[in-house]
Amino acid sequence: MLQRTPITGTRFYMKAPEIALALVGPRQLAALERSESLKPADIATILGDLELLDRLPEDGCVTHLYFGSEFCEHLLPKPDEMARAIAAAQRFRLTLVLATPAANDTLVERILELERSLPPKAEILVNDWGVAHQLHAEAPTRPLIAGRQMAKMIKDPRVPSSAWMKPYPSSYAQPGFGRLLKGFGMIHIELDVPPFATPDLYVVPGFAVSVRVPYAYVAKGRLCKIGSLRQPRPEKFAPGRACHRECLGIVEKERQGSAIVSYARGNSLYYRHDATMTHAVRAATTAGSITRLVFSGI
Amino acid sequence: MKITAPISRIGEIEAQAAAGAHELYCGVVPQEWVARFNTGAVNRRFFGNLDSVATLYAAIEAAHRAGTRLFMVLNAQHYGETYQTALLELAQRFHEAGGDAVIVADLALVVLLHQRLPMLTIHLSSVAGCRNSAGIDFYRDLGVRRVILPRDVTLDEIEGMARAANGIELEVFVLNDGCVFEEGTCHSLHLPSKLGGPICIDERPFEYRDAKGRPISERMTRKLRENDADYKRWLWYRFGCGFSTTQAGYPFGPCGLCAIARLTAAGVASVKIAGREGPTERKTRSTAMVRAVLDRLEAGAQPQAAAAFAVGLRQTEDHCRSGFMCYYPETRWQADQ
Repeated sequence: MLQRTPITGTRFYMKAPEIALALVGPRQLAALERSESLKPADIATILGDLELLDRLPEDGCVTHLYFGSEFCEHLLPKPDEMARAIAAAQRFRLTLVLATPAANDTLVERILELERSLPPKAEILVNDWGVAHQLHAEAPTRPLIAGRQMAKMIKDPRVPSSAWMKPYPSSYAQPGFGRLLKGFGMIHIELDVPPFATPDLYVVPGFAVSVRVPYAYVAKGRLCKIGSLRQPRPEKFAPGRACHRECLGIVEKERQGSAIVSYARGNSLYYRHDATMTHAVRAATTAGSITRLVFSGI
Repeated sequence: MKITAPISRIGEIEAQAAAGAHELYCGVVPQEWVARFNTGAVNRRFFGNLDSVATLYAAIEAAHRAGTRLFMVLNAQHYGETYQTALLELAQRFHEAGGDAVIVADLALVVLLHQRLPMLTIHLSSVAGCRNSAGIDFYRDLGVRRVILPRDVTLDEIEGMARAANGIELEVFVLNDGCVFEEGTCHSLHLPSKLGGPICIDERPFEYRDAKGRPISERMTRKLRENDADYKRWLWYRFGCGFSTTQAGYPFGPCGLCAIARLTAAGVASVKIAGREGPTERKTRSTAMVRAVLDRLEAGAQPQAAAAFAVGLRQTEDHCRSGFMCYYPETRWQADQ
């Protein structure tokens, strides 16, 4: 068994949070399986993002492996992929986190089946109240994390000033929202970094806070442009259709021109954190408000 | 099966009732709200709202006189804590004046309203994004009586949820207006057009890259660009075919008329016509179209005959065959029907 590998790359985070590596598809999982260690260069290679080297923390060890998609029903791991992820997590002595999207009834059943295959301490990232409800009923001791789709806030990368977001503060600013999560035993939430973010966003009493780095998601649909690539025309852009997972190999990147660079992958829009956002994450991590950094592609 | 239709002015109530609506929904922006919060953000729409609580009271009376029920939307994805007291007051005034239900998306607000106004009927907005039977169970526990399903669910999924709904009413979209992203998981703003407008139709230039950030092959790029062209055409349908209508005023755009037979058989309680902000004629002609199809079915028409009638109402065989105008493309009009 390999030892956890302290990360010693370029650094600017002063306090050591938990560090997670988030993978979506089997291609990334295979890259992890080929890796001998989880040094910063390995993480950057697995995620295909060498610029990540500038954002990896000084003293942290990789502690968690996320596997699965928060955004797409077609990317829920198949049982054999899940088994491989479990094995990879054991090999690197990481706690596994199954990422799950919004789900129809069939997918809820598949998520419950996957849950039964997970190690006892594995966590599940949920983005659907129905999924949370069902998991809590059937696996009450399973640690659940409230995903980014359950955290309401404005993250439009085009807004020219923070004043545009003022009427829509984070939903976690409302104590009632947190009480709902605690009804499911949830004490851990995941937040994105909106434009003009300030560190106080991540002060959420009673909750551990994870943040995805270095991308935030803006919007997610169920209908998918690239997922319709091989469909006959009348069947395109409709729910419930088969998918060939083209999104795992192709991404849309905004041509230069915006201060914040946007991307589209599959059914979702993203942007890469700018310097202000990176600073907010660094400050909140130093202050201890952010307890886990989740390094992820889009 | 009930028809739930939008209004934005008192004068539309009688017209919508006459066109066949059983239930109406509206938004309101009280003047004191604007003074207090310096924003009109009481619900998902800045426009298309009644302008005062007095008008809301009059609308409740007018709706009941016309034999319809009136619902009020409080359906922002979420509200800041400072708004909660004002929202509770507004809901209480609506309830005490005889208003029939509130449509809510923010779960913390659902809980607050149910605790403080237990007799107030709460409908869960499509903005909450309920996509499964377990979600319906959860919302029942919170005091919700009806769940409005989001756009982009399949008929099979609706039927499954209806079977498991156990007393909770389901409402589904049937006409007009289609978000591209899911309303409940879109964290953008509909900005002024000079800043890009809605992000789903903001035509900023993008280029395709492979998983490692490299350019992709010309052949694949060509295929992707062809798909982009289809997507652009689908967007046009999604946004009401340019918000156009037939000469008789029937609106084009997202439509589930051919699915009404299956929705009725599934036990769906209500079909929703979107478009509070639209002109009065668009609203009433939408209602009349849905009513005409429902009347056919209630008179014993077979589903295919009702669908043929629906297509004939607008004489839109080409649009209907495309599948791009359908909320439920499983029932897309086929050439051999």
